[in-house]
Amino acid sequence: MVFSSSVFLIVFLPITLLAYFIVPARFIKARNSVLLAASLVFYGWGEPKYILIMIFSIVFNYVCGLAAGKNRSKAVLILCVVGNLALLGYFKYTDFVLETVNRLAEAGLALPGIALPIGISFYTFQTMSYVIDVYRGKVEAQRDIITFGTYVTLFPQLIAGPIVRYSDVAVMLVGRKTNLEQIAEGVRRFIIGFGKKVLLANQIYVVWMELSAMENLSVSAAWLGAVAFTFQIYFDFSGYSDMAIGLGKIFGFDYLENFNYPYISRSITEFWRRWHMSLSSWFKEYVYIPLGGNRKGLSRQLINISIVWILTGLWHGASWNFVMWGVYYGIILIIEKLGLLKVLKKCPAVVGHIYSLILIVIGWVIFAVDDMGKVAAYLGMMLGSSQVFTDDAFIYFFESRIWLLIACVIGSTPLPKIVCSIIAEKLEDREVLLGTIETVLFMGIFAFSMAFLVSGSYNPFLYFRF
Amino acid sequence: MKKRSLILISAAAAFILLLSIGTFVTPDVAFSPDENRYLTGKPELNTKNILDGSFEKRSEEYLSDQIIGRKKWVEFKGLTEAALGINDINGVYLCTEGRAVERVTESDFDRVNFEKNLRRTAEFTEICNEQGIKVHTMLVPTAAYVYADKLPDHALTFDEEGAFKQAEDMLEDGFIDIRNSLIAAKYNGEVYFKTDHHWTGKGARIGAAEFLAAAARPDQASLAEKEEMELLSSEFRGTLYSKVLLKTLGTDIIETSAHARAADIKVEIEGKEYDSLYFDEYLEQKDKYAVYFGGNYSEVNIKTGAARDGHKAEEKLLVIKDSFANSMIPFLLDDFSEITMVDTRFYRGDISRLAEDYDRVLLVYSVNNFAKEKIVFTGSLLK
Repeated sequence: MVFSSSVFLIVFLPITLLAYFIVPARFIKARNSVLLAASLVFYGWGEPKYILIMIFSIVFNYVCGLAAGKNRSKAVLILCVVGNLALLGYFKYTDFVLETVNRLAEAGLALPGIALPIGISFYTFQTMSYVIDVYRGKVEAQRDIITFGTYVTLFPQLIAGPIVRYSDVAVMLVGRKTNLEQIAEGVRRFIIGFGKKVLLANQIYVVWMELSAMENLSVSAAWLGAVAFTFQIYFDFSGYSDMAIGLGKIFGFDYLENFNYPYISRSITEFWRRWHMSLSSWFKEYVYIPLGGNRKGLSRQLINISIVWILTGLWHGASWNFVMWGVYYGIILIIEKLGLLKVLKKCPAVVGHIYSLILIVIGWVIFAVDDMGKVAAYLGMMLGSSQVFTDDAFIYFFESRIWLLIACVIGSTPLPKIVCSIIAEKLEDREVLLGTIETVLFMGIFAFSMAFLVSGSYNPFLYFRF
Repeated sequence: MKKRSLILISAAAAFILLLSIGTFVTPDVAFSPDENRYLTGKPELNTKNILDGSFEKRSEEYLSDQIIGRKKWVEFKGLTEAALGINDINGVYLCTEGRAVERVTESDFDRVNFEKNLRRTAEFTEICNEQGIKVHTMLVPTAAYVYADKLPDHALTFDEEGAFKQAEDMLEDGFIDIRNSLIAAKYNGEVYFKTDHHWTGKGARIGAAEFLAAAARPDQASLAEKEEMELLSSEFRGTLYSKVLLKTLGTDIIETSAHARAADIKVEIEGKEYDSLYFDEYLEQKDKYAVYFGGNYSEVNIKTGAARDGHKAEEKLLVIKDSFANSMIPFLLDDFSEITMVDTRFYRGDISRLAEDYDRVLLVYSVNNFAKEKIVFTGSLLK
């Protein structure tokens, strides 16, 4: 199930909230059971067999956690990591590996066509972090399997993150209270995320889709398409994180932030501190630092950075363009580390912004186009392979989507948040007025989003019904 | 802070509950005339359906189709987009003067298939010509081409000029190019509907006259050109309106040959015989273009027994077509003793063999459909 669907919004969410809040807060186990049951339904929706994988994952890591907590055995830790990676590897990378072998060795191996269970990249990372942290003695093993299952399956962050570490929510899992302020904050975050996804990401995606389907784009049209994808992926992904964080708050969980205005960065190093923070910090904590991080000399550090970035690329998808994308960022980060960062700091801010944005946009082209030849062709068009600077495609989309583009630009900066907090401060003494203004604004976003969501299913046939 | 939170939470909860309860208490709608399709009904809840995922899929479709105020939401979205200056909504360009035009861009237009169809048509033409049967092919340009001056600035279209050039090169004198006549005529009344993707009665009349001229009948052509029109409806809101649901588009008029309305003909459709090609009951419904023949069928046969100025028409005509031909046939009743229409989207027989019984063959397609369909003339085809 996804958040931006009718089933979620008008059936699943109201029923789950009702069932959850009917149970008094002091029966935390019962509340956890409601969440666990709801999350399993959410996860198995459309593909109930995946619930089995999920249950396996819960039981396996639960047992590993207990064992790791008892005797700190390295064998258990290795078993856990291998088990989780095997699960992820089998479902996510089998076809990719076989295809690559086929291409290199012309082996002609049949591809099994394994479907990827949604969210598996997220929850295997979550469960691994749990067992590793137990092994390290950072947290205690969770003895109650319902509580542990609630942590693994919690539907707000289940299918698209953030990657929540057990240590961050351990306390909340066994005792949490929700107050009105927290719920209201959750509602705000959810609506903002919903609006970002439906009103910005889905709409700007049209521009990328149309432009990337064309051949011989002018320079400006190729850039507009790439910029459109840049906005699309940000508002889609961060919108989803907002919805997850918002829903988490409603149920009494405080998740760490996952995005922090990545497009206002002044370097790529900074960008990766602001983009998908839960993933970068996961890799840092469980791969980079264990490999030695920066403590074993520069050359070793560079190797470590390379490993982390190849893995980061591969995590995003089983395809060579994702590996390329990871390598691309690995190289840029190494160059920045070797001195460019210092140069950028001395330059005026605008230089750093432009430098970062150009590299980010190019990065998204590598990410978005899943065929390396086509990536080269598209980047070629951005560099002027058509020898035309502008064309109708650019002018048409730029003019007709001008308000959408402006909204995307403003939405990528902290400006809306700053304006809202100024207004909130000014109206501090007039709570009802503030509440009313705020409600009108948020319900407006909600209503517009619903209109765009519902219209997605509206599909007139030009011809007679068959 | 409590009050502020309470206001927001209550409003959000009320909104979701309203949607939720409203959707379930309002009766389900079976058919959506605007979309011309049946909406999804309640999914059946049982273990098998849940396990194979069909219950989940159906429930999503059911809720999307039956959500309370569905049409209002779509209208609201269209208004928002239009207000923001977005001129292409749901595959339709919003033009000046309340005109909507179907949006066909380079990526929509299947050039490879277009060329394949042209090649097969050229082969078919040659085979027929050898048997003394004359074949004409008429491609109706898109409204975006004829009304190019009314499109939004810099609107994207496909290379229609190139497509027509290719048709002309491959079909030579079998090709009827009606582009200039349509463009010239558009200043004296609409040749395409403002809210539907079809041409109007006036547009179809030009098509008919051009065909008769190409068939070396200049007299009849000039007569057809002047044929008197009868108004059938002035309340038509067509497929393009349905796609955007914007009331600002206004309504269209449907008019047809007054002569054909009164003509004494026999129409056979799927084994049933009628004495008119007009199905007036459709004028009361949403899909008013279906007033011609009641829609599209694999095969329709019309016996005209026509005579104009005492001359009995003797030729038999086979029309291979899409829905654009439906409104054009009324202008040809006097010129052929018998007209058979086959719609290649439904017809499964061997068209080459069928053509042997006719004196003349006419292909009429909108250029866009001609690139979409797989048109095959020889051998029965299981598509």
